[in-house]
Amino acid sequence: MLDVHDLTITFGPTTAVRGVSLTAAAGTVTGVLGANGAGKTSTLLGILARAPRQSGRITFDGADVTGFDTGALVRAGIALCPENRRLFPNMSIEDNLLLGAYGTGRATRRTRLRDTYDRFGWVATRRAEPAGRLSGGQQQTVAIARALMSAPRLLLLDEPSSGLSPVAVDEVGAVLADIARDGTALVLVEQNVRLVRALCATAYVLAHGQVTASGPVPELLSDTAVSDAYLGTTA
Amino acid sequence: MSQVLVNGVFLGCLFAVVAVGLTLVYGVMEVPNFAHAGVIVLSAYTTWSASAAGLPFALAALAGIACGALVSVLTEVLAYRWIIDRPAAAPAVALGLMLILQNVALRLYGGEGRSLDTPYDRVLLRLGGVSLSGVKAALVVLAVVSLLALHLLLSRTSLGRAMRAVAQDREAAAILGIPMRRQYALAFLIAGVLGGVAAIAYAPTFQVSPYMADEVLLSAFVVVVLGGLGSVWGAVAGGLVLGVVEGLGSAYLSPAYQSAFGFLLLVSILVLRPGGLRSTNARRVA
Ligand SMILES: Nc1ncnc2c1ncn2[C@@H]1O[C@H](COP(=O)(O)OP(=O)(O)OP(=O)(O)O)[C@@H](O)[C@H]1O
Ligand SMILES: [Mg+2]
Repeated sequence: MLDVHDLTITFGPTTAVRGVSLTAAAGTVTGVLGANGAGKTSTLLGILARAPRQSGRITFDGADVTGFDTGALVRAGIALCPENRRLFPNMSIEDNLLLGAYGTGRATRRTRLRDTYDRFGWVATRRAEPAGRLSGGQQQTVAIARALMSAPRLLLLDEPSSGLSPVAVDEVGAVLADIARDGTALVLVEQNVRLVRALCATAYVLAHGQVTASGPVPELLSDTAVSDAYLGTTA
Repeated sequence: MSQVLVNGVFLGCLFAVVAVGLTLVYGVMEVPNFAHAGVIVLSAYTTWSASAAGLPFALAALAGIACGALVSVLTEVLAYRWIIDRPAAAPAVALGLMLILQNVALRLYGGEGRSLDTPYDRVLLRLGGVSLSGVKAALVVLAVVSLLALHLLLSRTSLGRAMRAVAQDREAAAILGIPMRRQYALAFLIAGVLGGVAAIAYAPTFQVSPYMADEVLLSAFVVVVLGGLGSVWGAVAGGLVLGVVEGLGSAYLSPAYQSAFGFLLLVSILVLRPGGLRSTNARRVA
């Protein structure tokens, strides 16, 4: 589904990502782990053409989408649920959701809105409220729902559990499992190892912008060197 | 007293239309668009020359508005777009653009003032003890209609929703695939149309000259700050407040200091409420 090859991203003098390659398959959750500043967010932004790529080839669904701009990538079926959720706090929940389907026709937007309300019942009852009034967990749900409004086949998620209570983390986990079950490919950047264990079959570990380990999650996380390096910085 | 209020409302509508154009551009692109004054000047001259060439006033007015829209979009495409990553350069570029546009007007039309005649010049509306010239009444109507149209655009359409989103969080909007450049151009287009409306609405009471918009621009910036940067409804409310304050000040104290009352108001508000009348933490266009 997604094939990233040799991605390098620099911000001025800083190289945030160097030569990262990764793949993600439909209906699975692929984890990306790493300490603060390892380059996880930059990798996701790079895939969506929101960070300056120095090198890299992005293949999506067998087609080379390297030269696409963000709008074209979203239309092709890639969506990002960004770090810190980034809802528009002064706009209504419904406006936030509709923005996720920007560029589609009115009828499509209405259908997807209805599907969203079917899936997340409480969102419908609060749709006119400003998004900023929701709790962290609720905002995360709306952020995921907003990303789904573009009907993506690949969903990139940047630390959806951050700042949430354990109960809210479990709820988000259940939602993500559900999305994957529908056949969507998920790439999950996470520091919450429990969530990674619960959802991901395979994962990559990033350090200083490079992939230092990758493979099936149980083995990857039982590798003491990896868990020390990783958990050591998050404890 | 009510006559003074009516005059204040007239001024307030003018300030609001100009200020909304400024605040929209600021909200979306964070540019203090001084060039807006030049847009108003060129719109007014276009209307004047089209009507001097024999075009009916309504067509001349449309030509003026179209010119405002075009010039405004050009300032974005040719100048502001290129400094989007260097906000510190924006004020200097904006001032430069204003001077360029004023000099274009000077070159094309000369420095002497022109008077713009309208079909409703000689109309005088009376209601009780209050009278309002046709020109002023037209301005109030035009202002209300164009601000309502803008309100509908921002609240009811997909483009307007995207514009509010860009004003609140540019990067989050970009991640959703909203094309930034189109939003920037659209903000300048709307500002240009409003500038054109302001030009044809108030040129008949003043005069068409390359510097006709300088004072209005200053007042409109006061309004933008009063209303909270990027807030459209703040700009409308701020425009009306400032218009009435300037009207009252010049009627009961001294007309010579009309603009000074506005700045006095600005300073007092900034001391009391640093975020403007409608204090917002996040930028917004709504
Ligand atoms: N816009 C930017 N400008 C300059 N440097 C940046 C920018 N974004 C990221 N960086 C740098 O790139 C490196 C990787 O950052 P990135 O945000 O991708 O890490 P991360 O793994 O997502 O970290 P975190 O766990 O804290 O979210 C860091 O050194 C960071 O300072
Ligand atoms: Mg990050």
